[in-house]
Amino acid sequence: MDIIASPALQIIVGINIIMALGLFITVSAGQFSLGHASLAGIGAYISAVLTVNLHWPFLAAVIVGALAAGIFGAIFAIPALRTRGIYLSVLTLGLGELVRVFFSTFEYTGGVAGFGGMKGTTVGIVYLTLLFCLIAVGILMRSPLGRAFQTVAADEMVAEALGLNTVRLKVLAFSLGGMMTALGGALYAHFMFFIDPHSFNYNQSVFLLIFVVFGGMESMWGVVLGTLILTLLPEYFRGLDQWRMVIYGLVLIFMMAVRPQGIITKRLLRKVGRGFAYINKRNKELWRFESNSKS
Amino acid sequence: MLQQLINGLMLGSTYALIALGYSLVFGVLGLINLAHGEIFMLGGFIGLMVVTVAQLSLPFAILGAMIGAGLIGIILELLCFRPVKRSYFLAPALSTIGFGIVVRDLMVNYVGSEPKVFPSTVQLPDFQIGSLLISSVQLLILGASLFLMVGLTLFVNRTSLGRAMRAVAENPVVAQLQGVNVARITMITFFVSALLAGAAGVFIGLRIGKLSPFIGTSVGLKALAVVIIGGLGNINGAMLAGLLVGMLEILASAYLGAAYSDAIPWTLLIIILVFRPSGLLGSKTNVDRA
Repeated sequence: MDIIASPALQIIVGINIIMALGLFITVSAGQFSLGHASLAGIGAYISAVLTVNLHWPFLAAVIVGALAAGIFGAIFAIPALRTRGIYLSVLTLGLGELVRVFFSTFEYTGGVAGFGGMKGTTVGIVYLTLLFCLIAVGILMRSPLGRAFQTVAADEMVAEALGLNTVRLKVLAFSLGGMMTALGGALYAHFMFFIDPHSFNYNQSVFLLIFVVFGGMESMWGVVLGTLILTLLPEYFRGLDQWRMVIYGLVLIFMMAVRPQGIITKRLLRKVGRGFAYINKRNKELWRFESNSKS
Repeated sequence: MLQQLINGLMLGSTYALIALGYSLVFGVLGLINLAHGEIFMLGGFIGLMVVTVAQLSLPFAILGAMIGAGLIGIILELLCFRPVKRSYFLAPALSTIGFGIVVRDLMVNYVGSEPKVFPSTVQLPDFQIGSLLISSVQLLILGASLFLMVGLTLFVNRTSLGRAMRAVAENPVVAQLQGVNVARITMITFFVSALLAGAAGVFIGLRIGKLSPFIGTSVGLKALAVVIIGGLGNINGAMLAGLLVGMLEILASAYLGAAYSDAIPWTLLIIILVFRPSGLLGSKTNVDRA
Protein backbone atom coordinates (compact mmCIF):
# COMPACT_ATOMS: atom_id res chain seq x y z
CA MET A 1 0.00 0.00 0.00
CA ASP A 2 2.95 2.34 -0.49
CA ILE A 3 1.07 4.00 -3.37
CA ILE A 4 -0.93 5.87 -0.72
CA ALA A 5 2.27 7.63 0.34
CA SER A 6 2.52 9.62 -2.91
CA PRO A 7 1.34 13.22 -2.32
CA ALA A 8 0.10 13.52 -5.91
CA LEU A 9 -2.26 10.60 -5.40
CA GLN A 10 -3.37 11.96 -2.04
CA ILE A 11 -4.28 15.24 -3.74
CA ILE A 12 -6.14 13.49 -6.56
CA VAL A 13 -8.10 11.36 -4.06
CA GLY A 14 -9.02 14.48 -2.08
CA ILE A 15 -10.06 16.44 -5.16
CA ASN A 16 -12.10 13.56 -6.52
CA ILE A 17 -13.95 13.25 -3.22
CA ILE A 18 -14.69 17.01 -3.21
CA MET A 19 -16.02 16.84 -6.79
CA ALA A 20 -18.07 13.71 -6.06
CA LEU A 21 -19.56 15.32 -2.93
CA GLY A 22 -20.67 18.21 -5.13
CA LEU A 23 -22.44 15.82 -7.48
CA PHE A 24 -23.86 14.04 -4.42
CA ILE A 25 -25.66 17.27 -3.40
CA THR A 26 -27.25 17.50 -6.85
CA VAL A 27 -28.08 13.79 -6.90
CA SER A 28 -29.65 13.98 -3.44
CA ALA A 29 -32.42 16.02 -5.07
CA GLY A 30 -32.86 13.28 -7.67
CA GLN A 31 -30.99 15.16 -10.41
CA PHE A 32 -28.63 12.60 -11.96
CA SER A 33 -26.40 15.04 -13.75
CA LEU A 34 -23.93 13.89 -16.39
CA GLY A 35 -22.57 17.39 -16.87
CA HIS A 36 -20.84 18.05 -13.58
CA ALA A 37 -17.32 17.69 -14.97
CA SER A 38 -17.99 20.69 -17.17
CA LEU A 39 -19.00 22.69 -14.08
CA ALA A 40 -15.68 21.65 -12.57
CA GLY A 41 -14.13 22.85 -15.82
CA ILE A 42 -15.81 26.24 -15.52
CA GLY A 43 -14.46 26.60 -11.98
CA ALA A 44 -11.02 25.47 -13.13
CA TYR A 45 -10.84 27.83 -16.11
CA ILE A 46 -12.18 30.89 -14.28
CA SER A 47 -9.87 30.44 -11.29
CA ALA A 48 -6.92 29.75 -13.62
CA VAL A 49 -7.52 32.94 -15.62
CA LEU A 50 -7.80 34.87 -12.35
CA THR A 51 -4.48 33.65 -10.96
CA VAL A 52 -2.43 33.50 -14.16
CA ASN A 53 -3.68 36.46 -16.21
CA LEU A 54 -5.01 38.75 -13.48
CA HIS A 55 -2.55 37.75 -10.71
CA TRP A 56 -5.21 37.21 -8.09
CA PRO A 57 -4.25 35.42 -4.87
CA PHE A 58 -4.83 31.66 -5.09
CA LEU A 59 -7.53 31.40 -2.43
CA ALA A 60 -9.66 34.27 -3.76
CA ALA A 61 -9.44 32.90 -7.32
CA VAL A 62 -10.53 29.41 -6.24
CA ILE A 63 -13.49 30.75 -4.29
CA VAL A 64 -14.61 33.09 -7.08
CA GLY A 65 -14.22 30.24 -9.60
CA ALA A 66 -16.47 28.03 -7.51
CA LEU A 67 -19.09 30.76 -7.00
CA ALA A 68 -19.16 31.51 -10.73
CA ALA A 69 -19.65 27.81 -11.49
CA GLY A 70 -22.53 27.88 -8.99
CA ILE A 71 -24.24 30.45 -11.23
CA PHE A 72 -23.63 28.19 -14.24
CA GLY A 73 -25.07 25.30 -12.24
CA ALA A 74 -28.27 27.31 -11.85
CA ILE A 75 -28.24 27.98 -15.61
CA PHE A 76 -27.85 24.21 -16.17
CA ALA A 77 -30.87 23.62 -13.98
CA ILE A 78 -33.21 25.79 -16.04
CA PRO A 79 -33.54 23.54 -19.11
CA ALA A 80 -33.28 20.53 -16.80
CA LEU A 81 -36.42 21.53 -14.91
CA ARG A 82 -38.77 20.04 -17.48
CA THR A 83 -37.00 16.71 -17.73
CA ARG A 84 -36.32 13.81 -15.40
CA GLY A 85 -34.64 10.42 -15.28
CA ILE A 86 -32.64 9.42 -18.34
CA TYR A 87 -33.75 12.53 -20.24
CA LEU A 88 -32.25 14.75 -17.56
CA SER A 89 -28.99 12.82 -17.61
CA VAL A 90 -28.69 13.10 -21.38
CA LEU A 91 -29.67 16.77 -21.32
CA THR A 92 -26.96 17.62 -18.77
CA LEU A 93 -24.54 15.55 -20.85
CA GLY A 94 -25.42 17.79 -23.80
CA LEU A 95 -24.92 20.94 -21.75
CA GLY A 96 -21.52 19.62 -20.67
CA GLU A 97 -20.57 18.92 -24.29
CA LEU A 98 -21.54 22.48 -25.22
CA VAL A 99 -19.28 23.82 -22.48
CA ARG A 100 -16.47 21.65 -23.83
CA VAL A 101 -17.03 22.94 -27.39
CA PHE A 102 -17.00 26.48 -25.99
CA PHE A 103 -13.63 26.01 -24.29
CA SER A 104 -12.27 24.26 -27.40
CA THR A 105 -13.04 27.30 -29.53
CA PHE A 106 -12.38 30.06 -26.97
CA GLU A 107 -9.00 31.49 -27.98
CA TYR A 108 -8.48 33.51 -24.78
CA THR A 109 -7.95 30.31 -22.78
CA GLY A 110 -5.91 28.61 -25.48
CA GLY A 111 -8.72 26.67 -27.19
CA VAL A 112 -7.96 22.99 -27.70
CA ALA A 113 -4.31 23.57 -26.80
CA GLY A 114 -5.27 24.28 -23.20
CA PHE A 115 -4.20 26.78 -20.58
CA GLY A 116 -1.25 26.54 -18.20
CA GLY A 117 0.77 28.17 -15.46
CA MET A 118 -1.43 27.64 -12.40
CA LYS A 119 0.07 26.43 -9.14
CA GLY A 120 -0.57 26.49 -5.42
CA THR A 121 -2.58 23.38 -4.51
CA THR A 122 -0.99 21.42 -1.66
CA VAL A 123 -2.06 18.33 0.28
CA GLY A 124 -2.90 20.52 3.26
CA ILE A 125 -5.16 22.88 1.29
CA VAL A 126 -6.96 19.98 -0.39
CA TYR A 127 -7.70 18.17 2.86
CA LEU A 128 -8.74 21.35 4.69
CA THR A 129 -11.17 22.01 1.83
CA LEU A 130 -12.33 18.42 1.96
CA LEU A 131 -12.97 18.68 5.70
CA PHE A 132 -14.94 21.88 5.10
CA CYS A 133 -16.95 20.14 2.34
CA LEU A 134 -17.69 17.08 4.49
CA ILE A 135 -18.96 19.29 7.33
CA ALA A 136 -20.99 21.40 4.89
CA VAL A 137 -22.60 18.34 3.26
CA GLY A 138 -23.20 16.75 6.67
CA ILE A 139 -25.01 19.86 7.92
CA LEU A 140 -26.86 20.30 4.63
CA MET A 141 -28.22 16.75 4.62
CA ARG A 142 -29.61 17.17 8.16
CA SER A 143 -31.00 20.64 7.48
CA PRO A 144 -34.55 21.37 6.28
CA LEU A 145 -33.09 22.14 2.84
CA GLY A 146 -31.41 18.73 2.64
CA ARG A 147 -34.64 17.01 3.72
CA ALA A 148 -36.48 18.97 1.05
CA PHE A 149 -33.95 17.76 -1.55
CA GLN A 150 -34.57 14.18 -0.47
CA THR A 151 -38.32 14.67 -0.70
CA VAL A 152 -38.01 15.97 -4.26
CA ALA A 153 -35.85 12.95 -5.10
CA ALA A 154 -38.32 10.51 -3.55
CA ASP A 155 -41.46 11.91 -5.18
CA GLU A 156 -41.81 15.24 -6.87
CA MET A 157 -45.59 15.21 -6.69
CA VAL A 158 -45.53 14.63 -2.94
CA ALA A 159 -42.96 17.38 -2.55
CA GLU A 160 -45.24 19.81 -4.34
CA ALA A 161 -48.24 18.68 -2.35
CA LEU A 162 -46.24 19.40 0.81
CA GLY A 163 -45.83 22.95 -0.39
CA LEU A 164 -42.19 22.69 -1.41
CA ASN A 165 -41.04 24.88 -4.28
CA THR A 166 -39.54 22.13 -6.46
CA VAL A 167 -38.27 24.56 -9.10
CA ARG A 168 -36.30 26.53 -6.52
CA LEU A 169 -35.02 23.36 -4.89
CA LYS A 170 -33.76 21.87 -8.15
CA VAL A 171 -32.00 25.08 -9.13
CA LEU A 172 -30.43 25.20 -5.66
CA ALA A 173 -29.35 21.56 -5.88
CA PHE A 174 -27.61 22.21 -9.19
CA SER A 175 -26.11 25.46 -8.01
CA LEU A 176 -24.78 24.27 -4.63
CA GLY A 177 -23.58 20.96 -6.07
CA GLY A 178 -21.96 22.68 -9.03
CA MET A 179 -20.21 25.05 -6.67
CA MET A 180 -18.62 22.25 -4.66
CA THR A 181 -17.64 20.30 -7.78
CA ALA A 182 -16.10 23.47 -9.20
CA LEU A 183 -14.18 23.97 -5.98
CA GLY A 184 -12.58 20.61 -6.70
CA GLY A 185 -12.06 21.64 -10.32
CA ALA A 186 -10.28 24.87 -9.31
CA LEU A 187 -7.99 22.95 -6.96
CA TYR A 188 -7.35 20.44 -9.75
CA ALA A 189 -6.31 23.21 -12.16
CA HIS A 190 -3.83 24.62 -9.62
CA PHE A 191 -2.44 21.17 -8.94
CA MET A 192 -2.02 20.06 -12.57
CA PHE A 193 -0.37 23.35 -13.75
CA PHE A 194 -2.21 22.78 -17.05
CA ILE A 195 -5.82 22.18 -18.15
CA ASP A 196 -7.45 21.59 -21.51
CA PRO A 197 -11.10 21.10 -22.53
CA HIS A 198 -10.65 17.32 -22.49
CA SER A 199 -9.79 17.32 -18.78
CA PHE A 200 -13.49 17.96 -18.16
CA ASN A 201 -15.29 15.93 -20.80
CA TYR A 202 -18.13 13.42 -20.74
CA ASN A 203 -15.89 10.64 -19.40
CA GLN A 204 -15.05 12.67 -16.30
CA SER A 205 -18.74 13.37 -15.68
CA VAL A 206 -19.46 9.67 -15.97
CA PHE A 207 -16.67 8.80 -13.55
CA LEU A 208 -18.07 11.30 -11.03
CA LEU A 209 -21.50 9.69 -11.26
CA ILE A 210 -19.93 6.25 -10.91
CA PHE A 211 -18.09 7.42 -7.77
CA VAL A 212 -21.40 8.48 -6.26
CA VAL A 213 -23.41 5.40 -7.19
CA PHE A 214 -20.70 2.81 -6.54
CA GLY A 215 -20.19 3.70 -2.88
CA GLY A 216 -23.86 4.27 -2.22
CA MET A 217 -25.71 7.51 -2.85
CA GLU A 218 -27.86 7.34 0.26
CA SER A 219 -25.17 8.85 2.45
CA MET A 220 -22.07 10.96 1.97
CA TRP A 221 -19.90 8.22 3.49
CA GLY A 222 -20.83 5.99 0.57
CA VAL A 223 -19.62 8.70 -1.80
CA VAL A 224 -16.35 9.05 0.12
CA LEU A 225 -15.74 5.30 0.15
CA GLY A 226 -16.76 4.82 -3.50
CA THR A 227 -14.46 7.60 -4.68
CA LEU A 228 -11.62 6.30 -2.53
CA ILE A 229 -11.92 2.75 -3.88
CA LEU A 230 -12.39 3.71 -7.52
CA THR A 231 -9.56 6.26 -7.50
CA LEU A 232 -7.13 3.88 -5.86
CA LEU A 233 -8.18 0.79 -7.84
CA PRO A 234 -6.55 1.77 -11.16
CA GLU A 235 -3.46 2.96 -9.25
CA TYR A 236 -3.27 -0.28 -7.33
CA PHE A 237 -3.33 -2.25 -10.58
CA ARG A 238 -0.79 0.05 -12.22
CA GLY A 239 1.53 -2.95 -12.50
CA LEU A 240 -0.97 -4.49 -14.92
CA ASP A 241 -0.74 -1.28 -16.94
CA GLN A 242 -3.02 -1.64 -19.94
CA TRP A 243 -5.38 -4.07 -18.25
CA ARG A 244 -6.27 -1.85 -15.32
CA MET A 245 -9.20 -0.10 -16.99
CA VAL A 246 -10.51 -3.50 -18.09
CA ILE A 247 -10.44 -4.57 -14.45
CA TYR A 248 -12.15 -1.30 -13.52
CA GLY A 249 -14.95 -2.03 -15.98
CA LEU A 250 -15.36 -5.59 -14.77
CA VAL A 251 -15.52 -4.44 -11.13
CA LEU A 252 -18.21 -1.97 -12.12
CA ILE A 253 -20.28 -4.61 -13.95
CA PHE A 254 -19.91 -7.02 -11.01
CA MET A 255 -20.88 -4.44 -8.39
CA MET A 256 -23.94 -3.26 -10.31
CA ALA A 257 -25.16 -6.85 -10.54
CA VAL A 258 -24.44 -7.70 -6.90
CA ARG A 259 -25.07 -4.45 -5.09
CA PRO A 260 -26.81 -1.87 -7.30
CA GLN A 261 -27.66 0.28 -4.29
CA GLY A 262 -23.97 0.89 -3.58
CA ILE A 263 -21.66 -0.36 -0.85
CA ILE A 264 -22.87 1.81 2.02
CA THR A 265 -26.61 2.17 2.49
CA LYS A 266 -28.59 3.80 5.27
CA ARG A 267 -29.63 0.31 6.39
CA LEU A 268 -26.01 -0.73 6.68
CA LEU A 269 -25.17 2.41 8.61
CA ARG A 270 -28.09 1.76 11.00
CA LYS A 271 -26.99 -1.85 11.45
CA VAL A 272 -23.45 -0.75 12.21
CA GLY A 273 -24.85 1.91 14.53
CA ARG A 274 -26.97 -0.69 16.34
CA GLY A 275 -23.96 -2.97 16.52
CA PHE A 276 -21.92 -0.27 18.22
CA ALA A 277 -24.82 0.55 20.51
CA TYR A 278 -25.08 -3.14 21.40
CA ILE A 279 -21.35 -3.42 22.14
CA ASN A 280 -21.51 -0.25 24.21
CA LYS A 281 -24.46 -1.56 26.18
CA ARG A 282 -22.77 -4.89 26.80
CA ASN A 283 -19.56 -3.20 27.85
CA LYS A 284 -21.50 -1.05 30.27
CA GLU A 285 -23.35 -4.03 31.67
CA LEU A 286 -20.12 -5.95 31.95
CA TRP A 287 -18.49 -3.04 33.68
CA ARG A 288 -21.44 -2.69 36.06
CA PHE A 289 -21.34 -6.41 36.73
CA GLU A 290 -17.65 -6.29 37.44
CA SER A 291 -17.89 -3.24 39.66
CA ASN A 292 -20.85 -4.86 41.49
CA SER A 293 -18.94 -8.06 42.07
CA LYS A 294 -15.98 -6.12 43.35
CA SER A 295 -17.99 -4.28 45.97
CA MET B 1 -24.52 23.01 -51.34
CA LEU B 2 -26.16 19.96 -52.88
CA GLN B 3 -22.87 18.11 -52.38
CA GLN B 4 -22.97 19.01 -48.68
CA LEU B 5 -26.56 17.83 -48.42
CA ILE B 6 -25.59 14.47 -49.90
CA ASN B 7 -22.68 14.16 -47.44
CA GLY B 8 -25.11 15.05 -44.67
CA LEU B 9 -27.47 12.34 -45.87
CA MET B 10 -24.66 9.74 -45.57
CA LEU B 11 -23.68 10.81 -42.08
CA GLY B 12 -27.31 11.10 -41.08
CA SER B 13 -28.22 7.62 -42.24
CA THR B 14 -25.32 6.20 -40.22
CA TYR B 15 -26.45 8.13 -37.14
CA ALA B 16 -29.95 6.83 -37.73
CA LEU B 17 -28.71 3.23 -37.80
CA ILE B 18 -26.99 3.65 -34.43
CA ALA B 19 -29.87 5.62 -32.99
CA LEU B 20 -32.29 2.85 -33.95
CA GLY B 21 -30.33 0.49 -31.70
CA TYR B 22 -30.74 2.76 -28.69
CA SER B 23 -34.38 3.21 -29.54
CA LEU B 24 -35.12 -0.51 -29.85
CA VAL B 25 -33.55 -1.32 -26.47
CA PHE B 26 -35.24 1.61 -24.80
CA GLY B 27 -38.57 0.75 -26.35
CA VAL B 28 -38.46 -2.81 -25.05
CA LEU B 29 -36.68 -2.35 -21.70
CA GLY B 30 -37.11 1.31 -20.86
CA LEU B 31 -33.35 1.47 -20.29
CA ILE B 32 -30.45 3.12 -22.07
CA ASN B 33 -27.58 0.99 -23.30
CA LEU B 34 -24.52 3.20 -22.88
CA ALA B 35 -22.18 0.58 -24.36
CA HIS B 36 -23.91 0.90 -27.73
CA GLY B 37 -21.24 3.24 -29.10
CA GLU B 38 -18.50 0.74 -28.24
CA ILE B 39 -20.41 -2.07 -29.93
CA PHE B 40 -20.58 0.11 -33.01
CA MET B 41 -16.82 0.70 -32.84
CA LEU B 42 -16.21 -3.02 -32.41
CA GLY B 43 -18.38 -3.73 -35.47
CA GLY B 44 -16.20 -1.41 -37.52
CA PHE B 45 -13.06 -3.23 -36.42
CA ILE B 46 -14.55 -6.65 -37.12
CA GLY B 47 -15.39 -5.42 -40.62
CA LEU B 48 -11.85 -4.12 -41.02
CA MET B 49 -10.42 -7.47 -39.95
CA VAL B 50 -12.63 -9.38 -42.34
CA VAL B 51 -11.23 -7.22 -45.15
CA THR B 52 -7.58 -7.18 -44.08
CA VAL B 53 -6.97 -10.49 -42.30
CA ALA B 54 -9.49 -12.80 -43.99
CA GLN B 55 -9.13 -10.96 -47.37
CA LEU B 56 -12.84 -11.11 -48.09
CA SER B 57 -14.94 -8.59 -50.00
CA LEU B 58 -16.98 -5.77 -48.54
CA PRO B 59 -20.39 -7.47 -48.28
CA PHE B 60 -18.78 -10.16 -46.13
CA ALA B 61 -17.20 -7.45 -44.00
CA ILE B 62 -20.58 -5.86 -43.35
CA LEU B 63 -22.16 -9.23 -42.66
CA GLY B 64 -19.33 -10.29 -40.35
CA ALA B 65 -19.42 -7.00 -38.48
CA MET B 66 -23.16 -7.30 -37.98
CA ILE B 67 -23.04 -10.86 -36.67
CA GLY B 68 -19.99 -10.23 -34.50
CA ALA B 69 -21.52 -7.12 -32.99
CA GLY B 70 -24.81 -8.94 -32.53
CA LEU B 71 -23.12 -11.65 -30.47
CA ILE B 72 -21.44 -9.00 -28.31
CA GLY B 73 -24.89 -7.48 -27.85
CA ILE B 74 -26.13 -10.79 -26.46
CA ILE B 75 -23.17 -11.00 -24.07
CA LEU B 76 -23.93 -7.44 -22.99
CA GLU B 77 -27.51 -8.36 -22.23
CA LEU B 78 -26.45 -11.40 -20.20
CA LEU B 79 -23.85 -9.46 -18.19
CA CYS B 80 -25.33 -6.02 -17.72
CA PHE B 81 -29.10 -6.25 -17.93
CA ARG B 82 -30.29 -9.69 -16.89
CA PRO B 83 -28.57 -9.85 -13.48
CA VAL B 84 -29.21 -6.20 -12.56
CA LYS B 85 -32.32 -5.21 -10.65
CA ARG B 86 -34.62 -2.89 -12.57
CA SER B 87 -35.64 -0.88 -9.53
CA TYR B 88 -32.34 1.03 -9.65
CA PHE B 89 -32.53 2.67 -13.04
CA LEU B 90 -28.92 3.87 -12.90
CA ALA B 91 -27.45 0.45 -12.14
CA PRO B 92 -27.91 -1.07 -15.62
CA ALA B 93 -26.77 2.20 -17.23
CA LEU B 94 -23.54 2.23 -15.21
CA SER B 95 -23.08 -1.48 -15.80
CA THR B 96 -23.18 -0.85 -19.55
CA ILE B 97 -20.68 1.97 -19.10
CA GLY B 98 -18.43 -0.60 -17.40
CA PHE B 99 -18.95 -2.95 -20.34
CA GLY B 100 -18.09 -0.13 -22.73
CA ILE B 101 -14.85 0.56 -20.84
CA VAL B 102 -13.92 -3.14 -21.04
CA VAL B 103 -14.64 -3.35 -24.78
CA ARG B 104 -12.79 -0.12 -25.55
CA ASP B 105 -9.70 -0.94 -23.54
CA LEU B 106 -9.51 -4.51 -24.83
CA MET B 107 -9.62 -3.00 -28.30
CA VAL B 108 -6.92 -0.45 -27.43
CA ASN B 109 -4.77 -3.29 -26.12
CA TYR B 110 -5.39 -5.34 -29.22
CA VAL B 111 -5.07 -2.82 -32.07
CA GLY B 112 -3.35 0.10 -30.30
CA SER B 113 -4.71 3.58 -29.80
CA GLU B 114 -3.64 4.84 -33.25
CA PRO B 115 -6.38 4.98 -35.90
CA LYS B 116 -6.33 2.06 -38.33
CA VAL B 117 -6.68 2.80 -42.02
CA PHE B 118 -9.25 1.02 -44.13
CA PRO B 119 -7.33 -0.53 -47.06
CA SER B 120 -7.71 1.14 -50.44
CA THR B 121 -8.68 -2.15 -52.08
CA VAL B 122 -12.14 -1.53 -50.66
CA GLN B 123 -12.36 1.91 -52.24
CA LEU B 124 -14.67 1.67 -55.22
CA PRO B 125 -14.93 4.01 -58.22
CA ASP B 126 -16.60 7.41 -58.04
CA PHE B 127 -19.47 8.69 -60.15
CA GLN B 128 -19.70 12.15 -61.61
CA ILE B 129 -23.28 13.37 -61.99
CA GLY B 130 -23.19 16.91 -63.29
CA SER B 131 -21.10 18.81 -60.78
CA LEU B 132 -21.76 16.29 -58.04
CA LEU B 133 -19.16 13.77 -56.99
CA ILE B 134 -20.73 10.66 -55.53
CA SER B 135 -18.54 7.75 -54.60
CA SER B 136 -19.97 4.27 -54.85
CA VAL B 137 -19.07 3.85 -51.18
CA GLN B 138 -21.54 6.60 -50.41
CA LEU B 139 -24.16 4.95 -52.57
CA LEU B 140 -23.49 1.66 -50.84
CA ILE B 141 -23.82 3.23 -47.39
CA LEU B 142 -27.02 5.00 -48.31
CA GLY B 143 -28.50 1.94 -49.97
CA ALA B 144 -27.55 -0.44 -47.18
CA SER B 145 -28.77 1.96 -44.47
CA LEU B 146 -32.10 2.41 -46.19
CA PHE B 147 -32.37 -1.34 -46.70
CA LEU B 148 -31.65 -2.00 -43.01
CA MET B 149 -34.09 0.66 -41.85
CA VAL B 150 -36.91 -0.60 -44.06
CA GLY B 151 -36.05 -4.14 -43.02
CA LEU B 152 -36.23 -3.20 -39.35
CA THR B 153 -39.57 -1.44 -39.78
CA LEU B 154 -40.99 -4.49 -41.54
CA PHE B 155 -39.48 -6.80 -38.92
CA VAL B 156 -41.00 -4.88 -36.03
CA ASN B 157 -44.38 -4.28 -37.65
CA ARG B 158 -45.01 -7.40 -39.74
CA THR B 159 -43.38 -10.47 -38.19
CA SER B 160 -44.55 -12.41 -35.16
CA LEU B 161 -41.21 -11.76 -33.42
CA GLY B 162 -41.70 -8.06 -34.05
CA ARG B 163 -45.20 -8.28 -32.62
CA ALA B 164 -43.82 -10.02 -29.53
CA MET B 165 -41.26 -7.24 -29.20
CA ARG B 166 -43.93 -4.59 -29.34
CA ALA B 167 -45.96 -6.51 -26.78
CA VAL B 168 -43.01 -6.61 -24.37
CA ALA B 169 -42.44 -2.90 -25.00
CA GLU B 170 -46.04 -2.15 -24.11
CA ASN B 171 -46.19 -4.24 -20.96
CA PRO B 172 -43.76 -7.06 -20.11
CA VAL B 173 -46.00 -8.64 -17.49
CA VAL B 174 -49.03 -8.87 -19.77
CA ALA B 175 -46.81 -10.07 -22.62
CA GLN B 176 -45.50 -12.84 -20.37
CA LEU B 177 -49.07 -13.79 -19.46
CA GLN B 178 -49.93 -14.00 -23.16
CA GLY B 179 -47.19 -16.57 -23.60
CA VAL B 180 -44.38 -14.35 -24.89
CA ASN B 181 -40.95 -15.46 -23.75
CA VAL B 182 -39.84 -12.07 -22.44
CA ALA B 183 -36.25 -13.13 -21.68
CA ARG B 184 -35.80 -14.44 -25.23
CA ILE B 185 -37.37 -11.35 -26.80
CA THR B 186 -35.10 -9.11 -24.73
CA MET B 187 -32.09 -11.02 -25.98
CA ILE B 188 -33.25 -10.81 -29.61
CA THR B 189 -33.79 -7.07 -29.17
CA PHE B 190 -30.20 -6.66 -28.06
CA PHE B 191 -29.01 -8.81 -30.94
CA VAL B 192 -30.89 -6.76 -33.54
CA SER B 193 -29.84 -3.50 -31.95
CA ALA B 194 -26.16 -4.50 -32.02
CA LEU B 195 -26.57 -5.85 -35.57
CA LEU B 196 -27.44 -2.38 -36.83
CA ALA B 197 -24.61 -0.81 -34.83
CA GLY B 198 -22.13 -3.28 -36.33
CA ALA B 199 -23.16 -2.34 -39.87
CA ALA B 200 -22.93 1.36 -38.98
CA GLY B 201 -19.40 0.78 -37.69
CA VAL B 202 -18.27 -0.48 -41.10
CA PHE B 203 -20.03 2.42 -42.85
CA ILE B 204 -18.31 5.03 -40.69
CA GLY B 205 -14.99 3.27 -41.26
CA LEU B 206 -15.54 3.43 -45.02
CA ARG B 207 -16.66 7.03 -44.95
CA ILE B 208 -13.82 8.40 -42.84
CA GLY B 209 -11.31 5.87 -44.20
CA LYS B 210 -9.97 5.00 -40.76
CA LEU B 211 -11.07 3.69 -37.39
CA SER B 212 -9.92 4.39 -33.85
CA PRO B 213 -10.98 2.56 -30.67
CA PHE B 214 -12.13 5.94 -29.30
CA ILE B 215 -14.62 6.62 -32.05
CA GLY B 216 -17.33 4.69 -30.20
CA THR B 217 -17.76 7.25 -27.45
CA SER B 218 -18.01 10.35 -29.63
CA VAL B 219 -20.26 8.93 -32.34
CA GLY B 220 -22.24 6.86 -29.82
CA LEU B 221 -23.03 9.94 -27.76
CA LYS B 222 -24.14 11.91 -30.79
CA ALA B 223 -26.43 9.06 -31.75
CA LEU B 224 -27.82 9.17 -28.21
CA ALA B 225 -28.66 12.83 -28.77
CA VAL B 226 -30.22 11.86 -32.10
CA VAL B 227 -32.48 9.25 -30.56
CA ILE B 228 -33.77 11.65 -27.93
CA ILE B 229 -34.35 14.37 -30.51
CA GLY B 230 -36.41 11.88 -32.50
CA GLY B 231 -38.26 10.56 -29.47
CA LEU B 232 -37.02 7.59 -27.46
CA GLY B 233 -38.55 4.32 -28.47
CA ASN B 234 -39.81 5.69 -31.78
CA ILE B 235 -38.23 4.13 -34.89
CA ASN B 236 -39.42 6.72 -37.42
CA GLY B 237 -38.33 9.51 -35.11
CA ALA B 238 -34.83 8.08 -34.85
CA MET B 239 -34.51 7.96 -38.65
CA LEU B 240 -35.87 11.47 -39.13
CA ALA B 241 -33.67 12.96 -36.39
CA GLY B 242 -30.64 11.05 -37.65
CA LEU B 243 -30.95 12.57 -41.11
CA LEU B 244 -31.68 16.02 -39.66
CA VAL B 245 -28.68 16.01 -37.33
CA GLY B 246 -26.38 14.56 -40.00
CA MET B 247 -27.34 17.27 -42.50
CA LEU B 248 -27.05 20.12 -40.00
CA GLU B 249 -23.71 18.82 -38.77
CA ILE B 250 -22.22 18.68 -42.26
CA LEU B 251 -23.60 22.13 -43.07
CA ALA B 252 -22.22 23.52 -39.81
CA SER B 253 -18.77 22.09 -40.40
CA ALA B 254 -18.80 23.46 -43.96
CA TYR B 255 -19.94 26.97 -43.11
CA LEU B 256 -19.06 27.51 -39.42
CA GLY B 257 -15.99 25.34 -38.86
CA ALA B 258 -15.45 21.77 -37.72
CA ALA B 259 -15.21 22.65 -34.02
CA TYR B 260 -18.80 23.89 -33.99
CA SER B 261 -20.24 20.84 -35.70
CA ASP B 262 -19.86 18.95 -32.42
CA ALA B 263 -22.24 21.42 -30.81
CA ILE B 264 -25.03 20.82 -33.35
CA PRO B 265 -26.60 17.61 -31.96
CA TRP B 266 -26.49 18.96 -28.40
CA THR B 267 -27.94 22.37 -29.21
CA LEU B 268 -30.74 20.66 -31.09
CA LEU B 269 -31.22 18.23 -28.19
CA ILE B 270 -31.55 21.00 -25.62
CA ILE B 271 -33.98 22.98 -27.76
CA ILE B 272 -36.10 19.88 -28.37
CA LEU B 273 -36.10 18.77 -24.72
CA VAL B 274 -37.11 22.20 -23.50
CA PHE B 275 -39.91 22.79 -25.97
CA ARG B 276 -41.01 19.24 -26.76
CA PRO B 277 -39.71 16.81 -24.12
CA SER B 278 -41.17 13.78 -25.92
CA GLY B 279 -38.98 14.41 -28.99
CA LEU B 280 -40.03 15.12 -32.57
CA LEU B 281 -42.22 12.06 -33.01
CA GLY B 282 -42.17 10.52 -29.53
CA SER B 283 -45.19 9.85 -27.39
CA LYS B 284 -45.76 11.21 -23.90
CA THR B 285 -45.79 7.74 -22.30
CA ASN B 286 -42.12 7.15 -23.01
CA VAL B 287 -41.17 10.36 -21.20
CA ASP B 288 -42.98 9.13 -18.12
CA ARG B 289 -41.28 5.75 -18.31
CA ALA B 290 -37.79 7.18 -18.21
